[in-house]
Amino acid sequence: MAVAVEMLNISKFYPGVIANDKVSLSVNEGEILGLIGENGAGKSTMMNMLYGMTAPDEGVIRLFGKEVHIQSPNMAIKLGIGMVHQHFMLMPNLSVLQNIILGNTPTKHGLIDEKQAKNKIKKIMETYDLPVSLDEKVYQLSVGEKQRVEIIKALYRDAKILILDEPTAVLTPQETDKLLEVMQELKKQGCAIVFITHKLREVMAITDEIVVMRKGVVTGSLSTSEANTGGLSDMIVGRTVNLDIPRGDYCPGETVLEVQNIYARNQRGLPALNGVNFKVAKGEIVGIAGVEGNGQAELIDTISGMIYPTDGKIILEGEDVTEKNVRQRREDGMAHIPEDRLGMGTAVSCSIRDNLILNRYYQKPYCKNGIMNNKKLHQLSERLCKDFGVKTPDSTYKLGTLSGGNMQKVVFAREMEANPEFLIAAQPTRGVDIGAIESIHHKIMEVRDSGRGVLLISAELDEIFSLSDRILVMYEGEIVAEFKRGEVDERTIGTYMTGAKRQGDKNGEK
Amino acid sequence: MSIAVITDTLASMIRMATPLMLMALGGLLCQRAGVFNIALEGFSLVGAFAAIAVVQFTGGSVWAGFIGAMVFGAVYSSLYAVFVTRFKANNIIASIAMNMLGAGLTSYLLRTIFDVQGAYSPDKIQKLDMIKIPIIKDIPILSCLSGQSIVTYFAIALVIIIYIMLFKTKIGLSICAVGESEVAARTAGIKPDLIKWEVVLMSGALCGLAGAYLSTISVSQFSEDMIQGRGFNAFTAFVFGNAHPIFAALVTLLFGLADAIGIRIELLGMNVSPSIIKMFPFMFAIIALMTSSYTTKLKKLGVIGNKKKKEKIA
Repeated sequence: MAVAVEMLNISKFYPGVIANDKVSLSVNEGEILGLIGENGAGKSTMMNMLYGMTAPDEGVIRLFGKEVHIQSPNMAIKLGIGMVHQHFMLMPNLSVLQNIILGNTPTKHGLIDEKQAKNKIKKIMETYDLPVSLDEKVYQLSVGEKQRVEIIKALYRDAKILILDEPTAVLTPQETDKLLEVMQELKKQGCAIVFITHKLREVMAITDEIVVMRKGVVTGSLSTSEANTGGLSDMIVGRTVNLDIPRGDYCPGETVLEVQNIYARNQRGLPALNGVNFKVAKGEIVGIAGVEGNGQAELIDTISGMIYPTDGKIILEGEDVTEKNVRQRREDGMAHIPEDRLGMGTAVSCSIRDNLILNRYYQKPYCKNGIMNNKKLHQLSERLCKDFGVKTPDSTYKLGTLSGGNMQKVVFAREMEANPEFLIAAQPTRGVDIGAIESIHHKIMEVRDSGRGVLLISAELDEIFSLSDRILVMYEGEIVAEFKRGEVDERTIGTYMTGAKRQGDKNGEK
Repeated sequence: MSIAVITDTLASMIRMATPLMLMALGGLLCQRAGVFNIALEGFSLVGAFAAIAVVQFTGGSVWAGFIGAMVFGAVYSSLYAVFVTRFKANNIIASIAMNMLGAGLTSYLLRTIFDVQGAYSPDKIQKLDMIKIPIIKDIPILSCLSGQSIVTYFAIALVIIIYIMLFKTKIGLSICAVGESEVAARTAGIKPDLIKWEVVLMSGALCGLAGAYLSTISVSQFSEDMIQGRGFNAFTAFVFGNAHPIFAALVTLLFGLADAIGIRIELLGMNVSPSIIKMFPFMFAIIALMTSSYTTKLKKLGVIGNKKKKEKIA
């Protein structure tokens, strides 16, 4: 089969950084290439160059054997390249139809010819089994549906080469299966696909060829039939990784947090939590699984005190804290690793030191009569950076100079230094690389093993499974199922996450 | 109040609303494309001056004045377009600069070209006839629609045209897309800067025409600062009208009504200070903005407020 894409000896330099150093890859028609590597390994830069978002400094790009200089996404589209970005490139307030035809709009007498557009889209939806309602506004769609819109958008422009940038990161297992089916179908029709993902299982399942990147260079290029997951993850990190976190025996102590029949509203004023009940004991990790947007964010906010529930009670170590504010709750022994690291977890333009003391800056001995004691602060921050392995020359550097994984370590260090009895960890490893995931998971396990309670909220089922002692599933603002560790597999959880099933429905069954 | 007075007030409302409508249309186009344009005031002032200048140099042709005002309005706005696209300047700061520059530039040119201060009337100006619409002109109250200037009918037509353009055509879709998400629009192959140029130039031309209406139809002279905050009222109108051409136009009519009533009260010789009456549209603008922000707040209160605490307050 003909070669669709060839990127030969591509280099891209940013001031002080080599994003890509003589990287080569190629994809044939009707073939899926898995492009894997840690965050910052240069995968996205490669794909951005292919899609015309930036230009390579060195190297040659050939499409179907012809050398091209892709200068803009517009040109890439015309050359038959379609990209499904990790962060959806959709307009929430426009309709699905408008989103698809944007930039390639059929017209009749100067007005948009909706009928013609709809016919073409319907044909695509039937061919690839990608159903979406065209007249709905995009913000009303689920994540899986939004992704379908992105794929349709690319196909609508007659894309022969599809770039999928971490498409499964936000999907449930069922939605992922569906996407893989669609990819198979696209492959059969002769599309060339570049599939970027962190999930080795998916790579093994669907790709034909694999390219592994680390720190801007290719560390492995092999066909899938010769690959195994262990070898791949070693190539990704450059050393052997162990994501099997050793854990102490499960011996839950007294209850540290109890949530009683909580109701709350989201920012739009719509009901987000509809009577949530659960307990977290000392010495256990309770994981909350669920598709994003089913009330997890509001649950975290209610427990941490960012918003107040409209009804219900929150009890921390036997004391009702429902009416207490964030600082009071923290002083009562609660710590919180927020889901939005940049927005809520840290102050990016402040120093690492300031970030490490954000939760206790007003307390002795760091502050006396309103004056900060910089010497004490410096001792503390240097010690924390060392203990938690934050890679920085000096803790007075701005936090923004750190990588995602190191920022998360700063948040973790700050929260743990307050010596909490109860920790909320929301998406603790989102956007951090596999090496940092390993160390953060170890730290969370240490918290549990030292006899404290952890509430873990994560969109990554792998993370929930590897850490939790008990797993709760959230759907539309309610806890629809509860499982003990080892009692359930990802597929079953998936059916609860999508609301297809709930535990109340199957009485008596365990 | 007699029917004649009502008709008269409504006719005056439409006259007052015409420039606001044109400016608001220009502003909402920018808003839809994600350009926060509060330079309507400055654009209009330049238009008003250009109209008078062109009328003077063409020997009194108001039509030439209109075209000149639109051209110079667009040329002046291109400076703003350069700021917001090429230099990615903060939209608000750039707008303020455009407003201040507009005020300074017109009074400077007034002095250097016409050698006067404060105000200038062209030697000759061929006033346009008002257009009488048959049948409608004889219907009580509705007759307020008749006897307006050509610009007014053009403005009303533009409301419809811009509505169709925004929601039914390719360019409209691109404008809305750029306003929603610039990156996403770029990945769809749209050039956001090009779209921004287009809307800013359109707003410049529309504001230019609005200024020309004020200087050649409302009065027959240019005077310094003659826009008198109308640009900001137009801004309020399209924000309150949710950047929708038809709603925004309706809000400008409300502002026009406030203006018209103010004038009536003054004419009737009621014992009210003219300054207070002139405050009317601005008060209305503040009330309008308060209402719209209050409704947004109400929605948020459900989130922030604790049920128990709310009960305590009640």
